[in-house]
Amino acid sequence: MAAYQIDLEDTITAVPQLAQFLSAIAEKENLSFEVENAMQLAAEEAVVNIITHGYKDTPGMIAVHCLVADGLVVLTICDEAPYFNPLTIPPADIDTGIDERRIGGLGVHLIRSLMDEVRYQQTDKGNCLIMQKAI
Amino acid sequence: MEDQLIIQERQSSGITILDISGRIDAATSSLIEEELGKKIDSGVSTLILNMKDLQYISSSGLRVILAALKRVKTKGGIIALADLQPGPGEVFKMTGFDRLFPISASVEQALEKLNP
Repeated sequence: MAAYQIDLEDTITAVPQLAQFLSAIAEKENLSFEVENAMQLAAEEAVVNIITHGYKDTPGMIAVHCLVADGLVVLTICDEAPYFNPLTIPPADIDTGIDERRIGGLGVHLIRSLMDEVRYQQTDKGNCLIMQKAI
Repeated sequence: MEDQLIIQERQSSGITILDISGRIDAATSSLIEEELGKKIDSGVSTLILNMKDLQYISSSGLRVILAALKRVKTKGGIIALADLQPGPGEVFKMTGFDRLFPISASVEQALEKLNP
C-alpha cells in the first residue's frame, strides 16, 4: 500500500503541480498509460471545478490524496469551498450536433466515464470527492 | 507526461496545419485558444490539427476546439483532426466529439479529404 498527498493552493500553478504529482505516482507504481490518463483527467476536472465554481478563482486549499492498494487507485480531493455535490449535475449532452452542442459541462461526465466509482462526502470544512479505479 | 504544449504551424496544399504536441489542459488551453483565434481572425477557415504528438486533452481543451469549430463553421470552413493518439482519442469518443470533427488517421489522409 502506498499513500501520497499534495496540497494545491495557488490557482495558477495547481494544474501543472497536480499533473506532475500524478505522473510521479504513475511512474513509481508502474501504472498503465490508461490508468494514468484516467487519473490525470478525473483529478484535473475535479480540481478545475473546485477552482472555478467552488472558490470562484480566489485562492483556497485543495488537498489531493492518492492511495494505491489492493489493485485499486483511490483519489480523494477535498476543498474548503461552499458545499456542493458535483454528482448532482445532470448528465452531459454528448449526442447533439455542432449547432446545439453546449460548450463546457463535460468535466463531471469525464470523471464518471473514466472512474469505476465516484462518491461525494460533505465534511466539516467543505467537500470531498472520492474516485476509485481498478489498476 | 510532458506538461508543456507546443504548437507549430505549417502549410500544405494551401491548408494550414497546426502540429500540436504535449498536453492541452486547463493551464495550457489558453495557448491554443489564442493560436486558433489568431488564425481564424486572419481569415483562415480550414485547418488541420495534427495530434500525433498530443498526449493529453481535458475538457478545457475540448471547449476551446469546439468554440473554434463553431466559428469556422459559420464561415463555411472546417477543423479536421489527424492522428489522434489513444489517450485523447478516448476522450473524444467518451464525449461524442468524434462525431463533431472529421478525424483522419494521418495528416496526408486529412489533406486528401479536404482536397479531393
